[in-house]
Amino acid sequence: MEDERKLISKAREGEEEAFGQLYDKYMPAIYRFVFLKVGGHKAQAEDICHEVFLSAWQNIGSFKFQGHPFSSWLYRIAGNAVIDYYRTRKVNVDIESIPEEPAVEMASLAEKMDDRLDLENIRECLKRLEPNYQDVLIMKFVEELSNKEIAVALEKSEGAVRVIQHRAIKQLKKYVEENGRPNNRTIKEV
Amino acid sequence: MEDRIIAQLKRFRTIEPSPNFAASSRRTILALRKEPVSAWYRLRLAGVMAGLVAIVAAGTFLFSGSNAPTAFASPEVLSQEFASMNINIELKDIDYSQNVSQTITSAISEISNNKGNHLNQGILQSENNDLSLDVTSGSSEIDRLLDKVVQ
Repeated sequence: MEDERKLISKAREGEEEAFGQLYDKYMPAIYRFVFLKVGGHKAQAEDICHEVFLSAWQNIGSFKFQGHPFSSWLYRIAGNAVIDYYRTRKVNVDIESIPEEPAVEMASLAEKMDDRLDLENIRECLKRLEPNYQDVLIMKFVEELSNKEIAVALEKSEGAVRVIQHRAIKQLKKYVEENGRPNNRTIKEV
Repeated sequence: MEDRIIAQLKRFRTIEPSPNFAASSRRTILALRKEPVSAWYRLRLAGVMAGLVAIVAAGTFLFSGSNAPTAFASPEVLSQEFASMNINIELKDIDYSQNVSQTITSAISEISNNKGNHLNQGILQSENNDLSLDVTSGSSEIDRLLDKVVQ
């Protein structure tokens, strides 16, 4: 945490290498978060992820270190960027009309899976959840953040995060069951 | 079932951005930042600004026309300035005294009017006593003090 604080401090003073290190550390996690939030659309995930870090770099002067990880701030920017993305898409293109192309990562991942639940089914079900539910599940189970970190990122109480987590799992389970057992479905091939 | 779903969710952790995207995005972002404003740069800027302000203030002070620095040392100029100030003060006092006099006069005449449209004679008398002010004393006292200062 102390090292991160130094890096942030240097980045605030405009030191590129310091921000570069923060980028290297957090970019994969933010990319995963965005990727899952936009339904596995790789190009959109890359665009949004780029915007998130550009915004962070240009506004790092406004970041105040309050003992929370830097990632909480990035997740907040990412969440807003995804909301903006969907808002814009609503004006131009209906979200439902976005082609359901499985991303390369998803396909290659799915091929490796021999579980009864397949990843694509989970991803599709995850996409149907409310944004808050998605956020909590991704942060909690994909990124393994603590409830406190999630609470800071989502600007909610830890109690609220626990409640959302419980409801989100329940809802996701329902959707998975509605879709049928994953083994009964054919995994989309690229 | 829930455990399986959670286990599957954890497998999403293997998703990674493409190295090409990560590298090119990093390069572009770092190149786009505005010029850094370091603490040292801000300190220097503050110093320059403070110097400029000091120069402007000194210039205004030194070259402000007839009231040059020597004026400070001249008792005649000081006396003239004070005399004009005194007149202004007295004019203000006169105006103020007139206003006060009018207000108090109308208040006293209202109080003294006891022809049935006032209710309690005792209260009116008490107010009358409270308002027995020496209207001119304030002004004459100020004038006296000012005269004393001028002398």
